[in-house]
Amino acid sequence: MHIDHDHTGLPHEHPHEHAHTHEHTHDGVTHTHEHTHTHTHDHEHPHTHDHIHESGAEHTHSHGCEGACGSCQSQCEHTPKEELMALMKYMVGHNAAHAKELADLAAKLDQTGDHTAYEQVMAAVSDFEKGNMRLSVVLTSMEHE
Amino acid sequence: MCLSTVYKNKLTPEAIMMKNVMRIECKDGVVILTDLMERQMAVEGTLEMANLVDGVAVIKEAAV
Repeated sequence: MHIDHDHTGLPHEHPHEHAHTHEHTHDGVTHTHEHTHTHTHDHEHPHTHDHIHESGAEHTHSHGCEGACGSCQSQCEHTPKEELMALMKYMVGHNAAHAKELADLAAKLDQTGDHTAYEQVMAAVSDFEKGNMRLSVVLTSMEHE
Repeated sequence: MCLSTVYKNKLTPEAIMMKNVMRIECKDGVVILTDLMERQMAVEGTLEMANLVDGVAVIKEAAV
């Protein structure tokens, strides 16, 4: 069993110090100053840290940022949109597999002599495939954005 | 073949360990969950229940 720890992996803030140069104009004279200031912004880190289990065993788990950090340039594996698209891609494939299963079921109904049920199920499969095609088009459109 | 939501010890929203789980492996007293994005989570315990129709599973955490 894990013992709870403080770091939840949620977005959090750190202060950062930055040096900037920018131009000023005084009395018609333009020159450049360098100045330093501190600011904070939200971000989330993928990280590893030790856990102490109740048994006394200690080991390290890695934690991803789960794509929640808009400011992170390079460490995030997936953006929320990428994650949604992966889920949608999975569901389109999943629906296609279910459509095939239903078509197989319809064929078995036909073999039992219930041709009316076969036709109705196949009509449902056709509707299902049309809906899935619409999802597939949306997914393709998102992939090209 | 559907993705599942895996819970720790009980089927309550606050006990959700991982969503969109596509693979559950039980090995040497550890249950390893993998989600659609290939993220993994390991917990010491056993698979107590998997309802593949509802897409839910419960991991019973190992008692110490």
